[in-house]
Amino acid sequence: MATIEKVIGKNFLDSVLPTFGNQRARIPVWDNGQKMFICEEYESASGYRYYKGVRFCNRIAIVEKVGLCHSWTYIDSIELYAFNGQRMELIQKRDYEKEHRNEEFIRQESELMVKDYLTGVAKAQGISISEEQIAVQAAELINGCYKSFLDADFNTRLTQILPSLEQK
Amino acid sequence: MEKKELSLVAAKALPALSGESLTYNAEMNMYVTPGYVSLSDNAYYRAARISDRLIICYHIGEGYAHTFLNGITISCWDGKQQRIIGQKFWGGSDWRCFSEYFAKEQCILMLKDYLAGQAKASGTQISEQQLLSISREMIEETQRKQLA
Repeated sequence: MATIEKVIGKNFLDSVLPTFGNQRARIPVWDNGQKMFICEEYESASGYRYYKGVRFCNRIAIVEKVGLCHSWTYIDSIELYAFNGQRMELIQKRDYEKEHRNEEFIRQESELMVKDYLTGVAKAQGISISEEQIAVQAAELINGCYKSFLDADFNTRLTQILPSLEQK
Repeated sequence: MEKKELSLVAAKALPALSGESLTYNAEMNMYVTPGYVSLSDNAYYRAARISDRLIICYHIGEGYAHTFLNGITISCWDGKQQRIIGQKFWGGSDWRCFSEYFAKEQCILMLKDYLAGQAKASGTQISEQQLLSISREMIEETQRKQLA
């Protein structure tokens, strides 16, 4: 372990991977496997764990609320936010009951929610857009949300929205 | 952290992850939950290894012919609480049989990605090679036997 500390600095290691009993630094946790930031993790009185998973592009943010109970991982809800100036506004939400979480389901639901939003806005404004165009646009937005934070061209300025999403 | 302290930590902290009690399996060198048995007679449980900095939790499914690795959750400590820093899941058409080698390599990659993310977010420069080396050493730390 002395080697590790020498290589990357004791302060960095102790701040991001503290030993038991020591506080972790307030740096957002990027989960590259699930392509999202993990926020607001907490444990209920029953011992179950919950957290928010946040992923975003330059136009929308997707927040999934996840629950860990015994051997299962559930998706409790998915929320879709759009930018309004520097604020995030909730534009779509879906709640789930005892739905097991899997990546494909999350992605499909997110894409459907974006399609629903775009379709609704187009109808409200009397704009005619084909279903195919909406599908292409929705897929593009969702693909943008699954970009890795570790990629060199990830817009790190977008991480500024994390605190506002954590408060919701 | 001494082995006895780690055992106490595991007993206190790990049930919170699963809501179940756990026991140390010396042969597997893991803390194991009782899990549950499905209608198809498949057993699902979690198995964990811990160190003074990490908790590695394997999501395991035992079928009649194979033992599957359904997922890995890696957590770090935040005070006396655990914080999830990475998760990866397999199943459906993308299934994996459990092997120590595969599980270890996945853990190393997941930890490397976490450290890379933390370094990027904090403006710290660390090479890919150093990250891999550090991650390997920390994962191997969790695999050291709990019992003498």
